[in-house]
Amino acid sequence: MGIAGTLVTMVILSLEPSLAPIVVGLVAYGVYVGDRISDVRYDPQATSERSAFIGRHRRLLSITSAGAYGLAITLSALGGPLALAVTLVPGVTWILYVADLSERSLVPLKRLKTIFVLNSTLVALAWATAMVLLPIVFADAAITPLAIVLAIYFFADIFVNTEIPNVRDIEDDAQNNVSTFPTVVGVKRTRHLLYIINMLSILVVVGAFLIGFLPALFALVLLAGRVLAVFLNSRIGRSDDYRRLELLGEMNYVFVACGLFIAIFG
Amino acid sequence: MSNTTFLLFVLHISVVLGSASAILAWREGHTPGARPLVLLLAGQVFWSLMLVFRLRAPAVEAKLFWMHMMWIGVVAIPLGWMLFALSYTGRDRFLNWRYVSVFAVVPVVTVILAILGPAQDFLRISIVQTPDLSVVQNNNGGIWYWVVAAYTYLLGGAGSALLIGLALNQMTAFRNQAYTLIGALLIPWVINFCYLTSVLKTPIDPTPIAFSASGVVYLISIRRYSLLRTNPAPNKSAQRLVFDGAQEGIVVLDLNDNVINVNEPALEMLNVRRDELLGSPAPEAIPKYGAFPDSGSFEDFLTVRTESGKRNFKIKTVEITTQRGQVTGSMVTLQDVTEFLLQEQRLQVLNRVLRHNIKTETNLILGYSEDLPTEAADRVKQSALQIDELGQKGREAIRLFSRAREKSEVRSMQTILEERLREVRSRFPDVTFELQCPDQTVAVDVLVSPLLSNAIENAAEHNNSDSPHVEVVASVDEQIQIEIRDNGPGIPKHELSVLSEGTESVLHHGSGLGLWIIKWGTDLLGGHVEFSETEATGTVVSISLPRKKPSTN
Repeated sequence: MGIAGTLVTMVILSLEPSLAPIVVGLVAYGVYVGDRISDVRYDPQATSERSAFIGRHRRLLSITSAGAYGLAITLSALGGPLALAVTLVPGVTWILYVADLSERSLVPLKRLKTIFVLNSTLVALAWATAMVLLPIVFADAAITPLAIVLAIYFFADIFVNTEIPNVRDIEDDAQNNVSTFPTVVGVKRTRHLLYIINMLSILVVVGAFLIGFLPALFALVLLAGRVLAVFLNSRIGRSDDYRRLELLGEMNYVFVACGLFIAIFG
Repeated sequence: MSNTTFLLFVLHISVVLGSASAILAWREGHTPGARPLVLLLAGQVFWSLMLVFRLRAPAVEAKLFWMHMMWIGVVAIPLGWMLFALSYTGRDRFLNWRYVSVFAVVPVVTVILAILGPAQDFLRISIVQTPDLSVVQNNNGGIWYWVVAAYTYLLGGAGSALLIGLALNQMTAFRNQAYTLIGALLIPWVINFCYLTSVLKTPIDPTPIAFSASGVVYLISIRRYSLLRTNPAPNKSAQRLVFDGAQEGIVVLDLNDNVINVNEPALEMLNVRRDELLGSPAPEAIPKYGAFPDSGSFEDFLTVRTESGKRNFKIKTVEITTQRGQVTGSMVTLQDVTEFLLQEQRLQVLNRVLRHNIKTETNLILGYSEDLPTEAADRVKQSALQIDELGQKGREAIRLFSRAREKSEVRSMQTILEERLREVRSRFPDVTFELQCPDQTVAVDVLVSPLLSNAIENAAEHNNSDSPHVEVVASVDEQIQIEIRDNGPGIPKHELSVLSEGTESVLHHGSGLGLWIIKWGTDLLGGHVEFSETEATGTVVSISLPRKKPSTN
């Protein structure tokens, strides 16, 4: 997901090839596997195949994910201190996201993971920042309006993809006082709200095209990605296979990236 | 490969290893030492990264900036190390905000000075261009440079001392952990020392690179040997738990008799607050302290008026010594004996009632019964004698418990058995007695006398056989076995069931005290008693007793 998203940024913004996709890929692996390991540790009841896989290969996955983030940090240092700072954003966000700060705080603090909207916003913001800013910083390029359009596009997409698995986890989240769209507004309204976010994302792409920031070819490919997102959105509350929806959502950028390469080189 | 490229390569390796180790340590959550280790490794990674930026910086000003920033990483390491050592060795009472703030003063000031950069003079950094123009040699100075150096070596040494203490631990696992940790820290320490003393002439301080070797050791230790999960941290808390959880009050004193530690029960017993007692001279804080022996039990009781009334305490003083036997202080233990003394008092009153009052009253009854018709007088006399006998048994039981608290006295088993038999025989002339005793002299506690008297007396008294016979057989093996056999009717089952259950009620009780005296006496002597039936008729009382060393007297 991270590598494809960064490549999409680099292609659309016509940036110089750099280590950014590798760095984002390593960070994504480090954070994603780290998150799964912590899920298995704190939720030993989880019996999904993926949890079982993580449980079986925990030592190897733990070392490789830590090593991946370490490698990402050192590679990002080649891009300068700003690249390093951007690389640290998803990791620091994840720590803030899962850490229970209330235990040691003097003021009442809630786990960010449990706070409605803020939880998914944080995740989406961290990854959108990494996928858009890192290749720009590596290329020593400027932040253009098109970069902001891409950041909004990624933000909306990651936000939606974060809420889809929450429909599956509705009971666990309710039990653990984690406020998500499904636990707060219900499954049907979640579908409707995510439609609105997807539509806003489409409007931003169309608007960028109409203003002239975004070439037609790129706009079409990005909109194709949105069509897939809206389709997945429509399956919320109507499908039992949320793992597939989640996987397809995460693969969205791969489709978009493939579409871009076909459109450019095809 | 140029010097700079090689250095950059090694620094990047150091960053990867340090970051990975820090992430793994972070994933260990709140296990002892995990978070401080993250701080230590983060400091090392930060230091290495600042060196990377410094080496890659094109301008001298930029190089200076990163060199100042580097100090933030430098000072994080000793702080992380010290907190790690405290946490890992279970000294978590020092991990509160007060102590951590004290430890963090130098790092915080250093961060401020690093941010101020060349605008201050306390931490001076000057750079000199090397002949190949690619790397600059730095010279550090200013008063704060030496403060940080002292801070680093002080905390490094203190943390290592704590872990050396762990290395002297009896548990092999902890020893290995301590060697691993000290070894991992020694590498960068030696490198840093060599750099500072110009033994190692490198363009940059190679200490953070050396830390990458430490990172590998930490990485392997965390994953392979469960470094953070196999640690002695619970030991200190457990010792505190035992100290505070003891029923006895404990006051620890130094050689000047100042109170240096006290547990919770002692505070309650002495009716004082911890802050009042700690540090105060024992003669002022503890009543009658001057009369306490240097070592051993205080002959009197210490009486203290508390919120729950007057309490009495048995005092014992124990000297605290080193492994070489050198006295370093003392420990005073207070045992609340208020209930015990009250019981003692009740027993004394009961003893007097049984000894004096019952005897007097039964004598009066016997006297008055003389005026009654013969048949009625006989019945009254019989009942009065039974009451008197019960009183005697009661006194016997009380004496048994009183003597059990006194220093034990031993005598020859043969002598005791002969004496008891002689005494019972005089009271039951119709009964034939037989004694089988081993030739060897065997010492037994004199407490055995009343229980043997009762066992033999029971066998004789309740024996309604035509030719009543009592046989006493003693044998000695690892234990002393004494069997009292009779040919009487046997002991009623309900009497034995009361004994085995250990309690009596209004409806379910024995008929006297004799069997209880046998049971209590055997229990007090650490022995065991069994009641069984013989093949024909009668009972066998089997008493097993531990052997005693003969008295020197």
